[in-house]
Amino acid sequence: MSRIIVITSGKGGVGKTTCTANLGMALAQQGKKVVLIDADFGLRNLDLLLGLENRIVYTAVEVFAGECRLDQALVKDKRQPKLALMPASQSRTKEAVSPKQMRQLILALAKRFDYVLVDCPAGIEMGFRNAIAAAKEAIIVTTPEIAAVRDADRVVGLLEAADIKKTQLIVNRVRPEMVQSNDMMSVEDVQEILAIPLLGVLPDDERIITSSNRGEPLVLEEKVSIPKMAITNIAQRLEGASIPFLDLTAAHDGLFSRIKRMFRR
Amino acid sequence: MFSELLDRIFSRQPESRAVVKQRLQLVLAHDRADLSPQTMEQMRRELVAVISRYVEIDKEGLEFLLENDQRSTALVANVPIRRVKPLPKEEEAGDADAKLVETADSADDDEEMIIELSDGDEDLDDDSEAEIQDDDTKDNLEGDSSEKSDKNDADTDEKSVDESDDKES
Repeated sequence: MSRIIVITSGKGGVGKTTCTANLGMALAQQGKKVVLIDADFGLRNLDLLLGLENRIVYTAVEVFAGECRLDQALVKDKRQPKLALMPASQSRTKEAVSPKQMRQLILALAKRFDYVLVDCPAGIEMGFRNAIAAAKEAIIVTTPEIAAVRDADRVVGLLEAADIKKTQLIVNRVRPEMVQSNDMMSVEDVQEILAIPLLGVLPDDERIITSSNRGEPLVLEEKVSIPKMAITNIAQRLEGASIPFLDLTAAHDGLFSRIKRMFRR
Repeated sequence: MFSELLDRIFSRQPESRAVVKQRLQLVLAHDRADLSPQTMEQMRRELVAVISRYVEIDKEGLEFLLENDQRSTALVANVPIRRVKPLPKEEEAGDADAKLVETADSADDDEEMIIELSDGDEDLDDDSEAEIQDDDTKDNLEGDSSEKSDKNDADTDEKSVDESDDKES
């Protein structure tokens, strides 16, 4: 049975789309058939992060209108044949789509793929309602910042109300050196406040920006990096593997920070 | 870098990590409950009025806030008691408009009472809304809180508080 997972956050700019692109790619690398749905009508970006922006012919809106078949709108990734993208229209707004249409589209795709990952737009209005319409599970992406955590909490409440019971947390942009000096909430702090199970932790890393510049999700890189490992681990946890969370502090625990902590005791 | 270290050692400012956690806990308790400040204030006044019928309370020391633990919300009222009043007369309780407050019997035992009104993810029941018998604030409160309960699984009290002689007003 295929899994329909919505990736959401409430607040914008916390890394939903980056997580969706990389997680989809990582699951495909593990042999799963994955489709990524961009639910951000009017402000689509998932195509850019995947580097597929030049290959879009039709979008979900044309599928709804009956102007093309479902598989004509799907963009297949040449680097990773198990991955496909269902693009959103850039010219239409979120009000042009209804939760019922999204539900039909997602359920049709669920028949052909192992994973349907829906990239939810920011906010809790129409676009959010469309994105969660057929979801059975949710992944909340947040950062250790007050506004992001507050909005994430609101979304957790809305997902509960929509009867989406399995909700897991990804804490993105963690800066271990700031956590160590008590200038940032730790992953445990955020998880304790939101009180939902933790799925993964991603460090704040420059490589995320350079890979988005190139349109190549970071997990495609041959070279092993901490963010790549973190994403691969998340994909494996989704598959049910029990993998310990990466200790991000180790990489930053230089002599100076140790001395600093000694003084602070 | 060294001056930063010195700043750290001698700084008296609380660490921002502790501050942000505390701020989040408070704001989330209110977000989750989805109670407007007006409703909170009205609830506080009515609770004070009811309790004041039985005991004299220290209004300065009164604490009334929402707390959160593992996605459930509790309304915590900390009411310091100065002096126990004589029990209200029987006939007052028999009045047509007035029902005896169900939960007030513990009031004369203690120096201080903590009312913990807990929670749940369940929808509001009828008896979970504060009822007021006597004045036009009734419509406000009920309209307000029942509307809220539709939108959100607001937490609430298990106690039905009837208001007959509001000494505050």
